[in-house]
Amino acid sequence: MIGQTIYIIAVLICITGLYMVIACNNYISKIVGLGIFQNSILIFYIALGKATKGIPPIYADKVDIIYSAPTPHVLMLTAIVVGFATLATALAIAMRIYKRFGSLDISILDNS
Amino acid sequence: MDWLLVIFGLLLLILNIHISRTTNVIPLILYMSASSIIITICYLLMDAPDVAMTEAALGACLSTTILLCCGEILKKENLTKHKLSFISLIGCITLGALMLYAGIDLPSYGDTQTPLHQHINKHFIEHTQNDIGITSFVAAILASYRGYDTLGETTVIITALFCVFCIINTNNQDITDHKVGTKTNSVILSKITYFITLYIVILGLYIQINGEASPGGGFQSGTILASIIIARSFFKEAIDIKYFFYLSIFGLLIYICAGILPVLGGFTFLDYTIFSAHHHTAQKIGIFIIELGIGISIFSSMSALYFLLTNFIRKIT
Repeated sequence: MIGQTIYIIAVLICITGLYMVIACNNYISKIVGLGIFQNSILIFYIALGKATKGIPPIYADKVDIIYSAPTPHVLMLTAIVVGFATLATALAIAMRIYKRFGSLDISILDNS
Repeated sequence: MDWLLVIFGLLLLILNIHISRTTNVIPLILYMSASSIIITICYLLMDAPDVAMTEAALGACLSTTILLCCGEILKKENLTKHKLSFISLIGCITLGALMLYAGIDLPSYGDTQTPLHQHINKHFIEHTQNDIGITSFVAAILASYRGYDTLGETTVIITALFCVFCIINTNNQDITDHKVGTKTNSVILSKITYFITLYIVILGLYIQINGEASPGGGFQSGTILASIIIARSFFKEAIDIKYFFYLSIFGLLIYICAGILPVLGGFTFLDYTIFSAHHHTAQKIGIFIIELGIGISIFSSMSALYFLLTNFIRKIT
């Protein structure tokens, strides 16, 4: 249980982000919640790849070296860049909604 | 278990719970930036310097800039939740409990006997020095073993740029209608920017060229160099945005050329052995070319994304 603390923290951050996406009335809050949700998944994956007494995956010319796994790092690099792309697109759509309706609040948008 | 990581993880959890209960937009965005910085430190503690650099550049810096421009519109509004948000809280907690129950037999943090460390990671770690000859395993996987995925990733950023452009264009505006920059006469901004531009250029070029020997590469350097253009736009109004569009496509074309040339020479797509006789030199040349393409593409795409969004917001307020 102690050895899995970081996974428990990642799950709790994940449900915090999900709660923000579901429950908040404002579009900017939803987009930020989506970012929190995504960050928690990245923490989970990088934590899976760590090796005890390991070093970062850069070649060192010594004997008996343990490296942390490099594949999760590569996949999460892609995930961060793609997450930024979706953030920019979501913000563009939100700004068009603001221009058309004058508000980014769902309770006001539902009635108009 | 690494106690420093647990402390930062708990700090991150408390900060994120506080984010979900904030009622103003500007503090929300700034807390999100602080959360990104703490996550960067967590990545460093988990032996991931490449990911930490990318998260610091893209998550803590560029995301905050773009979100702040959009959040400035709402700075007087109060952020509320649904009337029935209690039910969704119960649902989320149930989901969290189910996920924790499913993860009871997850391996302990740092366990090296898991399948993750055995099969493909062991192959990459053992064979990179013989096959490719560069010291950074992450750069070897990103640019050589899995170069095809990185091509898709660069295309995603350019696609996002064009999507934002199509969404924001109203009434069929021409691309030259987007002017980059504002014309304030601020002496402080101009002097500071001219002073710091040289250092940012040196840092960006260093990270770009040393991407194969140390943490770094095209993505991080492109974002760092884009900050020069963004800082310059605060006080000067000169650049036409269409050049950034052309430049981003040019970067992607460099990447694709490094893949098409082997096909014309009889090899498979993105096979770098055509570039030289010695296979280590050939891999290094291939990786250098595609990192150059990625750097140019990301640099122009990030700048153009920032300009499109901020110009549009200035027009609607």
